[in-house]
Amino acid sequence: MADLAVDDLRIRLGGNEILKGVSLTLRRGEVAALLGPSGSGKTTLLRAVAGLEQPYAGTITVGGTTVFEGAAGINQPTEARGLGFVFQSYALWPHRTVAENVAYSLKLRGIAPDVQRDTVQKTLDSLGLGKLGHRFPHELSGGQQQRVAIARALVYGPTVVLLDEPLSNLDAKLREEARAFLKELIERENLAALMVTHDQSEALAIANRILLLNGGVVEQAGTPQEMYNAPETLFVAEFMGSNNHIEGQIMGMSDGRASIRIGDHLLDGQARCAPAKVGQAGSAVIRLEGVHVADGANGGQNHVKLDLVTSMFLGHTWEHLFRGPGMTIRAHHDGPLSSGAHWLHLPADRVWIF
Amino acid sequence: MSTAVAGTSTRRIVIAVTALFVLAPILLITYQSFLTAPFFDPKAQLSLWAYEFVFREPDFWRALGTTAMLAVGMTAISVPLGALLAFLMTRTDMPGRNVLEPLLLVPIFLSPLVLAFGYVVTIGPVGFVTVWWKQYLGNPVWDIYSFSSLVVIAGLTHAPHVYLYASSALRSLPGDLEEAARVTGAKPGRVAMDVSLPMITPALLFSGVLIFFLGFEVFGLPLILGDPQGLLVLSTYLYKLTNKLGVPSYQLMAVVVMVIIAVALPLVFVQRLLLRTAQRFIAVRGKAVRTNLVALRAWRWPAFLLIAGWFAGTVMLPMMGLVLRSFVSSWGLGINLIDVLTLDNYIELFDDSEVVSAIINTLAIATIGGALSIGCYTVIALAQHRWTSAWVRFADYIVMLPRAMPGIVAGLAIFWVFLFTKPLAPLRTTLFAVWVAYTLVWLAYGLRLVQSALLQVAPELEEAARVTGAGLGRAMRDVTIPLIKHGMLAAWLLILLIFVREYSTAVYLLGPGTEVIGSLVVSRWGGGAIDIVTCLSCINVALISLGLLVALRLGVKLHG
Ligand SMILES: Nc1ncnc2c1ncn2[C@@H]1O[C@H](COP(=O)(O)OP(=O)(O)O)[C@@H](O)[C@H]1O
Ligand SMILES: [Mg+2]
Repeated sequence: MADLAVDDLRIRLGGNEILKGVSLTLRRGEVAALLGPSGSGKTTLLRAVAGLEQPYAGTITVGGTTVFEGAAGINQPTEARGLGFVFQSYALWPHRTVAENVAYSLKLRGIAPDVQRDTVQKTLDSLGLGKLGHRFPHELSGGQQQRVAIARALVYGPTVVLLDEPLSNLDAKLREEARAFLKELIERENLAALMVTHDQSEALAIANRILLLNGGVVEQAGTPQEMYNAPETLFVAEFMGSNNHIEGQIMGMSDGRASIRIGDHLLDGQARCAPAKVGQAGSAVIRLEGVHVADGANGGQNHVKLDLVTSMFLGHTWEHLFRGPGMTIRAHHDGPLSSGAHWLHLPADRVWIF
Repeated sequence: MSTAVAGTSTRRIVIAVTALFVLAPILLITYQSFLTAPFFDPKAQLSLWAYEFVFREPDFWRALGTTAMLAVGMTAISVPLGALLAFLMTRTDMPGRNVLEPLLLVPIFLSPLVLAFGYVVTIGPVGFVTVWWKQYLGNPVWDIYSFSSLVVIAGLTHAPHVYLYASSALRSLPGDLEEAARVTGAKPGRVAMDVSLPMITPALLFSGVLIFFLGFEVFGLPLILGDPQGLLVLSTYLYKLTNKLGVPSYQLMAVVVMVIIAVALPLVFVQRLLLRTAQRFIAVRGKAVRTNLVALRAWRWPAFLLIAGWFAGTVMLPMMGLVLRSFVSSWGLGINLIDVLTLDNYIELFDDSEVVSAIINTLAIATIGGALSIGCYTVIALAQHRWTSAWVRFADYIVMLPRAMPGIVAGLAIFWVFLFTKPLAPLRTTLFAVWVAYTLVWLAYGLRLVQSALLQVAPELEEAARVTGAGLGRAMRDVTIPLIKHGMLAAWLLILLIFVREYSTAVYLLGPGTEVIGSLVVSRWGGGAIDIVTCLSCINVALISLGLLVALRLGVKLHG
């Protein structure tokens, strides 16, 4: 049974429909990433699960207990839901020391002071904060503050933890370390974690499952591999990874395959869900790493000849920008290229046609 | 679910009690104004008689006219003066700005009554300055007991209110707006006229309405400076009306109060509207730190002298006069100052048991009472905190109503409420009644102080307590209140200053056990006890100065 289940949740804020029927389930040991552009309702969903926003319809179940059900008028207050919540701003209480911040939830539960102290110390130790208990939040670095926020959310042993962009306040280097640390922690503690992020690479790295929110609905949900390799809509394809997007006219369509005409070129590719009709305008999308720079002259199927405009060195690879009539294409390649025209291969199984 | 409901019903109860607290006096006044006799008189009947009587009184219309002219006149003086002070202080390289800055706000905290006494003992008919002037220069060219003196003094003493809003608007004006105008080719003068001034117009408009509104409220200045010539404004007319018909003429007083409220209430709502507009302009906070000040060149020192002169004339002169007068046994033409210097006034002061209890009561009501008031304001603010409900909008309007009641009116209203409500009657002659009146008069102000502290608390800090398992009340107790502690302390210091200064609110409640410095001074002035009045005024100013110093030391922002 799911440890967290949300069904058809709907929220209106300030007269606007923010969530228009969102469902998800989550089990222990799983990390689900809520991904989506800014303003898509990720934070709102997380806050609604915690009881900090008021949905008008839907159900929320935590560990088998219904904490919200619009139709039945069930609405448990936030404090009775027993969730862990890590705020984007960390929300550490500035008037309490680290140890007091972490101990607060234990105090609320009437735990004996010496047990409190031991539990807090154990939690701080496990997060590498062992010696910082007496400090105040403003005396900590960003990364340490983030860990305190996590310690505070976990110390009373909630099964379900909600994290709102927990890594967004860290600088790029620290963020990668924290990402690995967080994933390991969630697996070790066997938690069910729902984590908001707007960064697709972070979601791919940390999550077992990704829900892509767009305009208040789940656009697509699936494993990171599915989301990345088999996007169902143009929005998902564009959101995940770095893409080339080429406009053209749909020329043919048959059993999952389609062809699109761009200028003088005819590209074959995979037809995605609900594609445009033959004769209409359509789009071809291919990831940067899907484009191959073909050595030597080659005029075969799905090959195009474009001029190299500029090149950028990215460290682990090069990115080249090509342009020709009706299309601009960026491609990854492991070395520099000479200026002038080059043949590019856009393999039909890497081209998605929408 | 249950805790959420419990929290909500507590909020509702607090708001309902607040509404009762605010509405009871107003409803009682309204009721009284439609009676033919005081409400406790069994023969009292519902009628419009009192309205007809008051509206047929030429004195009433004269007082109304005088009030309007006073309000217009002091607005016409305060707004340009305050705006000029603000411009010089925030936008120019005038010397001595750091020294002048805290001094400019002093008149806001001084009792206008005390200032009026100061003017009387310095430039009144037998004031120090007048007497010396007569000795060396002949007849003085001024008459302090004239309407024009009243307007000028009221205008000068109220300029800091304008300065407060104009300067904060000017300060928050992003420098790049002006620089952008400079870059396109405008000279500094043009920039001031085309950019700076239009940008602070909302603030000036707001302070103009505020001064006009305060003009309808002033009591101390016209009581002291207008009375000898029979010059009455609405508030002093009300005060004089107390015994008009030989018996307490409550119904007539109630009608005058209704008129005052009818004028003040729309002004309160206009102010609220204008303040919103003004804040929208102020909210455009630029990150750029202003470095370019307008160079005054040859005008630097004249500008400084202008402000220093204003301060000397408006604050220093009357204060020094007061202090001096409190140390002489008598004063008049032909008296040598050295001969009359004495400490007796202060020594005798402590033989007067009424005076002693006034001082003790003032201290008690300011410190303990002030703290209790802040406690009440905090409870009301918390009841509205992070709650979207029609109740909160209702409370927003309710708490503004007392602002339409000048202190003297609120004091009278509370006096009546205590008289009217049998269970409260025994408390009418205790300090508790005075405290209730003070708390009512300053409700909107004190609430705003607490609310602005609450605004600083990030919502996630409270939500974080909720998710870890704290109920609404617990989260407020453990997170919200500790986080606004400093704000509450600052609010308490400001309320303390205001309670020490307050004089008109306690006038009707004055009696054995309820005397405070302010109301006692009003009554003793009526009896001509100038020695005691000047001594008490000096003590009052000393207490306020002490409080101001502590507040400044603790870094309290003097404007909420
Ligand atoms: N209290 C509110 N009242 C009205 N609209 C709100 C409120 N809070 C958030 N919104 C709107 O809801 C949308 C979703 O917000 P949010 O959940 O914070 O997005 P995300 O976290 O995905 O960036 C935004 O368009 C935002 O403007
Ligand atoms: Mg968000």
